Amino acid sequence: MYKLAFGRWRESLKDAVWLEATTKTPLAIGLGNASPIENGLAIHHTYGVPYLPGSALKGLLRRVAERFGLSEQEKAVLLGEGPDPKQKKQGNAAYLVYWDGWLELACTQPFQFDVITVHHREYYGKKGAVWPTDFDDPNPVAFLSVRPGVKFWIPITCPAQDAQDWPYKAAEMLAWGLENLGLGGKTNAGYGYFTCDFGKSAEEEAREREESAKLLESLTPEIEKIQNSGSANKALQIARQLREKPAGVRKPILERLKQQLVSKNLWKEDKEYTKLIDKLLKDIKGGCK
Amino acid sequence: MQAKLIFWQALTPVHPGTGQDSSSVIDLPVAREAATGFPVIPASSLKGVLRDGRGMDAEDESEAALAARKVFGFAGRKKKKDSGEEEDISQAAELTLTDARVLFLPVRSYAGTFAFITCPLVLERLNRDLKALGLPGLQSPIPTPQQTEALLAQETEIVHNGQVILEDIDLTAQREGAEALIQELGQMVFDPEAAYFQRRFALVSNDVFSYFCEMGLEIIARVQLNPAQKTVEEGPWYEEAIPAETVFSCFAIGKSGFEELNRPYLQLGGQASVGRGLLRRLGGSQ
Repeated sequence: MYKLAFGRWRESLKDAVWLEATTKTPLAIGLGNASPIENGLAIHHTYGVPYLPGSALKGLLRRVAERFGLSEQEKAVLLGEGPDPKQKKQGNAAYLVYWDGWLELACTQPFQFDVITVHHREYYGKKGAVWPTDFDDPNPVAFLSVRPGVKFWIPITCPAQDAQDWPYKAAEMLAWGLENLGLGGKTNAGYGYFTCDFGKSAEEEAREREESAKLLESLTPEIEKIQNSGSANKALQIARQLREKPAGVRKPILERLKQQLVSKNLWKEDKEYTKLIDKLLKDIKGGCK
Repeated sequence: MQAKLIFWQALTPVHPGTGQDSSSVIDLPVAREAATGFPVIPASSLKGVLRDGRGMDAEDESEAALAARKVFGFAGRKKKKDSGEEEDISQAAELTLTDARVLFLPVRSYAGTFAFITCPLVLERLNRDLKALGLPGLQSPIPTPQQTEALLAQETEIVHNGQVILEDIDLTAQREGAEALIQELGQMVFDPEAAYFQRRFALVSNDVFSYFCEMGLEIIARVQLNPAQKTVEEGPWYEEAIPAETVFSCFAIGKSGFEELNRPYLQLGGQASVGRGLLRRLGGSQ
């Protein structure tokens, strides 16, 4: 179900700049949200999976913008500006859209149990009216966080047709923020740091297509030799060769190979080559295991 | 005069705000119908996004601007080129849009992640409007579920121990009586993804539906941080949104301009820059 929703969502934003962010440390975002356990987590209302709220991403970008000392005009484009009653300015909305970051499809277990232990409950609760001492009872609070190694897809779009380098700029800055400033709560305790990867640029895709076409040409005679169960093991050899290739390069070749096997009635669930080809086709690169 | 039924499905939460404080815990509520309290996307939001500012400048005489004014209308005057006299170039729109009403509301379910719920009132209103516009209504009868009952398809995913548990309300699962209706709705709205819908569909009583329209929408807490200190500068404030997956129905009525609706996606409503309000168009080419 989430797969279908994710697919629809990806498709609807196909012109976006995609940032792929993988948690490097645990992520605790939306700790204040209502939750049956004491602390919340940003969980998608409809699908119940963790996500990165667009508003949090935009907020992080605001911090990056301050840090980089962007000009007022640049900030107005990236983030919009509030109305200024003194100068009778109405303000304007941001020119970019920061969509929610959605959880990678292949990820089946994004959560982990986590705990915060408050050692000086009275001291914090009474805002310093009572001294913190070593005799206080520690109070462990269990909560859920997103574990490290979980990937999220973050699209950024710009509705104006003639300003398509802005989303790239925003994505670069956001990546810097996710890697260095952290997102969500408890960033001072090491939570919320990511490693980021850009979705492929058009150039890169063209290069991969070219490499793929060449490789397919050289492998086609081999593939066509697969005629019966005797020569079917060649499929395994070819698939193994392709294992190290980037997904974009190997996919068309694997598809051709599968087509050959299917047409010769050799595509059987229990064969090793079937499993390997299927696995490679699914391309679970970077997702959590 | 021609009329078309159009469906929109939310891919991200939608915030067609009222801009008004509801004087409740929600600071920014979504628009609702006055009489029913069901959330709604006002036709003006829909029309504004479809128009996208085209033809709003009275001096603009380009073909695109004239076409946009014909379809969406225009109010204003402009100076004549030769005499400098002002003339009124206002015209009425040839395309009428109606509010996009909630047809299926997704509600969190104990089994099957979420359920698409609707109620007899919603379907009867749709039927009435279809007939009034000369379109064929629903073929299947609309059964009336009891207060504590949910009518489901034979093949359903949202039953747990004979019950449908939606948020904190338990309803008795009833697989008989609505099969034809569910098949028809699935075909009409979701084809070719009908099974996705049918497996989590529940027809509930009007009161239960009203309750979820009031209490079951998404509530998002927001804060604004001070960029230097990372402490809360403003907030928290609470925004309401119509959750992702909600299906809306609306009508387009008119003489021309139906091609304006032929777009697979739209973004509308408030909080757009943080990703709210992405809709996809569904079926609806009756």
